[in-house]
Amino acid sequence: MHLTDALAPVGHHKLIFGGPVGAGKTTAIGAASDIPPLRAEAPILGGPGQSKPFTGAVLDYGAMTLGDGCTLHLYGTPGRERFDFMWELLTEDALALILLIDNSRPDALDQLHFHLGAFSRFIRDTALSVGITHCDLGGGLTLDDYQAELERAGFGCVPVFAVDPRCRRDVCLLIEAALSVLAPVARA
Amino acid sequence: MTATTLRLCHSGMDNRALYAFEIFLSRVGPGACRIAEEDAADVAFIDVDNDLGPYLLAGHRMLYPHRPLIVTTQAPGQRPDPLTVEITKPVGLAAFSAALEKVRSLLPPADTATTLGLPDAGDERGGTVDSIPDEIALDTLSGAGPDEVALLRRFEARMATLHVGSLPDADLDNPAALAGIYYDPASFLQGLVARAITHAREIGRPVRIDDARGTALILDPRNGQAWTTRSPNALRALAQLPTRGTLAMARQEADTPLPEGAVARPLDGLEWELALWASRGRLPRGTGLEHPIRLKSWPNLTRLAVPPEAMRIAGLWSRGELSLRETVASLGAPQRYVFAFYSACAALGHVEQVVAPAPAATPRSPAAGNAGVQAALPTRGLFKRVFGKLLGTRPDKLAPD
Repeated sequence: MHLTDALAPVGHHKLIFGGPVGAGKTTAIGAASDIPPLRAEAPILGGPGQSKPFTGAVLDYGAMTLGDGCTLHLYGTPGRERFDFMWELLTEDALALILLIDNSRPDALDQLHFHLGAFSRFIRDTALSVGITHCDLGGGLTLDDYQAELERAGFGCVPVFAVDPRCRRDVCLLIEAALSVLAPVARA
Repeated sequence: MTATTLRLCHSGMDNRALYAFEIFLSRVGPGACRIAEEDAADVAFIDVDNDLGPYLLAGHRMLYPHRPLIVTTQAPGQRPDPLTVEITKPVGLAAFSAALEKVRSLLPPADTATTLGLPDAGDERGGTVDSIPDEIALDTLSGAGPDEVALLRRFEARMATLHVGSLPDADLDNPAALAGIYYDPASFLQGLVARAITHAREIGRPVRIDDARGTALILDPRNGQAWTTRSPNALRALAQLPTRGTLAMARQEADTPLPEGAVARPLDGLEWELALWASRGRLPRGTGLEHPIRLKSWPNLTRLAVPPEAMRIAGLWSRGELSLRETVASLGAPQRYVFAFYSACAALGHVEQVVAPAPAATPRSPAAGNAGVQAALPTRGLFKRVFGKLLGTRPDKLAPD
């Protein structure tokens, strides 16, 4: 299966995984996906004075099969801000944003704030859940700190969970929380 | 025929799978085992490699903690539990027979049925037995689709009784019935632990809780840890009954070693479960049914026991302020699910009641306020399928620690 094939279907249901580089998007998609996750990378030429190309992660893809031939596509946005032009394209017709933030980074709250701003319109039109990763590595922030930042940014009460992106259960609970905000009356 | 026939239950198979499995059993050996109802089984047989498997595994562990399990998997070696016997797939007759023998050795003699003369599984289908191979590909046998979701729901409902009790819905318009939906947290271990934590914070050192058998809990809010010397079942029993003066709080001296066998766990997870167990589907005394609930923050549901319908309830409350009565009506859920979740959230400070009853829900979530987006949402069928899928991913935290 080629990545372009995965991207091709129009109107399929999809979820977006966002967050900075190293937050665990690739791992989380791999944990939740029922198929081997796909990862596209592109060599990008650096700026002036940089002759060597570096590898930029373009996007990750996974899928959850739901029965009846229905599939929930999982897309991971490129973490680097230089690829943020792709974010709006990817979020088109998506159901919700799963935002992962690396708690061990000293600028974790700044990262949260940045991504809330970048995805602001999409979040306001859909739903958001926030997964805080690398909680075991310290960082000093609590889930309450993130919740307070979300309140300050005007996003209200958002599901904020500590997650291990390697753990399928954690990732699926994040997904479930976002969709429960979107459609709480729906039931399995 | 062997002297004893093991009674084996087989949750998670559809009729087609069960038929093939019974024929397979008939090859194992006359009288070696027979299919039995879950409640009367000596051993449960579970394939853990499909979505349903881990859920069933956790469910059986919770409901029948002393029952051996035969688990089939492609990745053995991940379950050190001495009561779990793993078989690597594809399941062969020899391996399955060996697993049955291992189960026999795990059972007290009185627990296996003396079933001389009982028909063997598959006897009635003798004409087909010879055509069945000695291996069975369980991956192709597991049930799927709506039946699977229904099975997950049934298990969730059964296991829910451990967290939220089985209190039937009360007539909320009948003042006499309302008395039954409230409890006083202060009269339970929940309340004692809350007082102990406050005290420990005041004195800056751990506090222990003793019962007649000695130290049951040590609470240290400085590092957010609790140590328990009781099994999950014993702790639940302790938490479900009013303390009636049987428990005492005392300062844990700095040089006092931890009791032997004490197990550490996060303090908030303990408080959460104590509240669920004390509540058993009831509300803390003084909670208004008509006052809107404000969800201040979501409980950290990846690290806490997830009671039934917790996601939907929190999702609803995060969209706007609804009363408990409105919440029950909106979700169509049993009252005890909503009341227990509220009680646990209240114990950890995640919810508060707005003083003045509101005439209608006030949208707070951005998504909730966008009617255009709501109209554009996919059909409910999608969410039904997604939630059904996600339900099957929860099992590893369903069972007590």
